[in-house]
Amino acid sequence: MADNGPLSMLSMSNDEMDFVEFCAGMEPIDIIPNFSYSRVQIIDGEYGPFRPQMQVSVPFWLAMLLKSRRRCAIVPPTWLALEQLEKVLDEERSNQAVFQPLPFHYIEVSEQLLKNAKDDIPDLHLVREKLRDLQSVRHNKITNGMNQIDTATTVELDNLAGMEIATIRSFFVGTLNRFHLHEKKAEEAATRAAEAARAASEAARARAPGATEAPQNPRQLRRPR
Amino acid sequence: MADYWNIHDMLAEEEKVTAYFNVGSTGLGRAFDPSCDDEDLKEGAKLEIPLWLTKDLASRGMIKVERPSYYGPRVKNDLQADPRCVNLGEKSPYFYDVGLRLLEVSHDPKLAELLNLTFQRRYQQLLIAALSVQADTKDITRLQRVLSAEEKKLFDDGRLSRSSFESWRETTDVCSVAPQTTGMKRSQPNVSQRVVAPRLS
Repeated sequence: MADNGPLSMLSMSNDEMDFVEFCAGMEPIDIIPNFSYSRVQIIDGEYGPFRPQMQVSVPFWLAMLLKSRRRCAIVPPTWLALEQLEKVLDEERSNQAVFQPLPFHYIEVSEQLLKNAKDDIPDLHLVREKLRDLQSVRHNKITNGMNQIDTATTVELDNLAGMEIATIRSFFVGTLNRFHLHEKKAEEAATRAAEAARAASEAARARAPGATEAPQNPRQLRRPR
Repeated sequence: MADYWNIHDMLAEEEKVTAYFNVGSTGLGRAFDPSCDDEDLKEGAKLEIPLWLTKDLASRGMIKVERPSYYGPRVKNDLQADPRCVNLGEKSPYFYDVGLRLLEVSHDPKLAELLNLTFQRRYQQLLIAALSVQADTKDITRLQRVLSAEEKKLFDDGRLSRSSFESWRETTDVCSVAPQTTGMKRSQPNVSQRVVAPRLS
């Protein structure tokens, strides 16, 4: 039976979440360093130069590393501002048909920032609350959407975030596979049945014109009394 | 169609079904049924044989397979009344897969429809119980008792991703995206005071 593709191994444990989180490390984010350093070259590009009080864009993992050493302040992304979150949350609630566009890694990035960069985020508690609300509203929307599915279809997952996809992946793929399997088998059975019926009717027609065989009299089969 | 290495496919094919032999076979009487009187299997004999054997015999027209009772009208009525309460696992652990295999033998469109409808109607409660945050534990235990093996796998998969997401959210620790680095820029006088980034777990 079809498995869940190349990611099926990952879905066997927590690893899938860690993998998605790892991917979030590549998101660019702005920081304000408090040290001086020249331009650095790393595998995915060049970053810097770093000057105190000068805003600079770095990958998220580097930002978290520097933050843990108290070498920088994080500039919270615009979508993490309280007003922006409230706006998105309202939109998300009022419009049930679509998902609001949010960064693909918004869950991973925001969770990390809320834990490790508390001092850089204004209205920390309200922001956390809004984020949790946002996540649960979107999750409910996802399950509602999946509730509509009753056949093997193509589904659009526009604007779904990485972590949201990771939470539903194995269940969703498994379900669609099963719907697909059932439909395929039903189709096969129908064609085979049709073939058999056609063959039977052709055989009957071939026999009919000559009428060589006398129709069997059911009485003959009975035992004489 | 079965995957040779898939344990679930193997187990599903172990399921016994009743078959009527259209032809007799020599020397097979005791092989199938030790209590058989005769060495040979007579024409018209009724036997319980495993599902994997039926496909080849039926395609040669040597047997006629009878549909197991759990695809019969009584269960069908139950399923139509309330598909969510029927205990499929009790009827046959591989309710769907056995049905699909039988379909290859009997090509019965009604059976196909029954399987499809059953899954369609039971899928929703599976979804809610597996992925919903507010799923009731009582409902879940009740549900787990009535699932077939295929449904149970889906349910467990969904539940696992959900709970690993929850545990990820709880344990996202200080700086787990950042890799562990060895060299520090400034010299560290005391090893015990060194700030060590936690490992990428």
